[in-house]
Amino acid sequence: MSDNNEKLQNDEVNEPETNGASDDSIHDEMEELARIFREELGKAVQESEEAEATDVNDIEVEGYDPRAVSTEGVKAYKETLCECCGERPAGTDDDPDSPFCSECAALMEKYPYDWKGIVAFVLVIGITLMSLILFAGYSPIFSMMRRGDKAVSQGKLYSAEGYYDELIEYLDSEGYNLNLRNFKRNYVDLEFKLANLSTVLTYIDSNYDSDNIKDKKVQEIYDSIINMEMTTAAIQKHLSNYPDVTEDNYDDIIKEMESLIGTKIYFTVDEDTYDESDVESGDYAPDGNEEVYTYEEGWIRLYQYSAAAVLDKKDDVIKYLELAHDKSSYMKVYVSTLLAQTYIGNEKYDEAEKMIKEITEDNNESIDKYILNAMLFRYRDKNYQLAVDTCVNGLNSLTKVENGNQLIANIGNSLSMQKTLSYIMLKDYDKAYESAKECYSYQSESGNLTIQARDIYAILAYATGDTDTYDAFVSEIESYSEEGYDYSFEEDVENYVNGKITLQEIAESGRYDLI
Amino acid sequence: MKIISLIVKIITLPGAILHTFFEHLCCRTCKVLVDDAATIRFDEMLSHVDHQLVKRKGASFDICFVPFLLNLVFAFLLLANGSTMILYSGHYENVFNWICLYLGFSLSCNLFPQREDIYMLKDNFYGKGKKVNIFAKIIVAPFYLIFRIGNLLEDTGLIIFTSAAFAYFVPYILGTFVPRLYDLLSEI
Repeated sequence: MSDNNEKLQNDEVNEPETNGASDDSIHDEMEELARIFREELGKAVQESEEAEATDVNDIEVEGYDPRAVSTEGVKAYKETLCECCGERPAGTDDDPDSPFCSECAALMEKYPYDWKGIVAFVLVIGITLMSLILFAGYSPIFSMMRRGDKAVSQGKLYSAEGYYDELIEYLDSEGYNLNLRNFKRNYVDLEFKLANLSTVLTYIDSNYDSDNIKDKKVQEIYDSIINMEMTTAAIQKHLSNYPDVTEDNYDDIIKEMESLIGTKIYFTVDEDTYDESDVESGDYAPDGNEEVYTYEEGWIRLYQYSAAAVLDKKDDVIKYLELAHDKSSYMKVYVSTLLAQTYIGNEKYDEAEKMIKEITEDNNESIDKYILNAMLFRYRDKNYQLAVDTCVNGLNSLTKVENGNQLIANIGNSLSMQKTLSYIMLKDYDKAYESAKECYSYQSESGNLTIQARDIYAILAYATGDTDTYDAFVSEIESYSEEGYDYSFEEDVENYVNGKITLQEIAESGRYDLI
Repeated sequence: MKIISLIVKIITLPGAILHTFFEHLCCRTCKVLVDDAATIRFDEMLSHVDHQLVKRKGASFDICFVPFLLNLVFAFLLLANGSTMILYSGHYENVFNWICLYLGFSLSCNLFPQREDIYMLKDNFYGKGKKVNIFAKIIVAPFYLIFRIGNLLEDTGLIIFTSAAFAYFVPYILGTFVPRLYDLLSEI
């Protein structure tokens, strides 16, 4: 270019001399320059197009070794491509920074499900639906069982018994044949705690193979009841030598009972067909193949208590009851109440209160605590109105026992009796009569009519002028006597009618404190 | 991954498969890019889906929470029958009850998300420079804690004991409302 410029400048200087010739040469030079420019442009365009159509890796330049060149540029270029396919530029419309191209991202978003997952899902859906259907049918059973178990854990034994009984009835009525091991165990345990021993034995006989129970807890309960039965039979055999308990033979009886503690009992016949005469005491069975039992100490103590009670030996009564209480792992609900009642009768009120507390801890719904408290208020505090209120509270609490309507008839009578005696002490004879009537009706309903309930009802009927009721009792007794039955009023009735005893003396005698 | 964790997952394979399936289902719903979703594989990804990191808060929460919830619900429904009949009532004779118990147990052993997903959740909600509503942070916090503890239990194999405890207590949980429900339905 500089040569041409100099040439041009020289041409301009010499222009006047060579004007026509210089015009042509300039034109030719310009034409030449234009041609060269077009050629160079064409080459550049061609190279550019070739570069666009060729991958960067395919560029072949003479003397150029791509391995020797820094890979940074190539890498940088590669990073702009899709990580998945490596062909299309990375980045999607939603995410420009995505390492994947739009096509690959769309495919990854819709990654196909594994068939095993689908099969598992369908199976689980099906099994779950079947499970729910089964559970829906099972829910009444579960509800009753759970409520019963919960009541047991809360110490509401009567409520629990109500739910369990309801469940047994439901299973029978609906024809379910489910082997609910845990429920059966809980039911046996509950009835055992409530000292319903015959119920336990009947239930075990009908629901277990008594020779092979396969449930440790139930087996223990069964064994202890059988052991107690054996003890009873063996003691009865020993007591057959003493038809009556008298002052003369009292010590012998007590000693003989004492000697049995810790010794063995065996049968002389098959266990299933035994009676008292087939039970023997000793260390071992004569043939060595009969099952051997051990005398139950708690039960022996209760027999000693009974002997002491017959002769009204107060110290011995308390002593043997306390021993029975300490040694009885079962029947505690019965022994504790008996002991508390004995404490009250012997004016040991602090001990009685402790025992009432223990009874309440064992069974929150125990009706015995109301009866015993009413007795405490009557004998210790002479607060008869409080005794009445306690009885009313007790009866109300029975109505709150869940599923326990039958309980009022079964055990409400003792509270009615306490209420009767308290009203007598308050000299409110009309209310006393109503309560006596209530007690009598409860006992009649439950089928456990006692002489005390009948007599106090008759006495109060006479006292309040209800001669029709009193005469009806007298007629009933006469008719039974004519039929040869030993059925008569106790002496309190005749003594009251003859004016030998007052109502208050009858109430305070302690003979009517039913538990 | 500890071998004990893998053994537990193999023992409870149905639950692991279901968890993978539910996680995959969630990934597809949330448009998360999935690298691999094989349900049966004997490595640390058993019961999980290999997917790309998620920057969206909602999606990262869903990936952790939805499979957890679905496995939990199915586990509870299956244990309602299995555990109530076998563990609570002691009725062992029905094979179907055992199937329900096993499936419920295996599902409850595979509830929790993998650690990376939990970190992803944490980063999205509590990471530096993240603008997240304070209420969302508060709501997510207990879930994050549950996921971390659950993940730890899965990694150590202790999940087998917690799941057994869960199976044992299902009847007691049911006992709080089923009796009332039964009464209501009986009245209707």
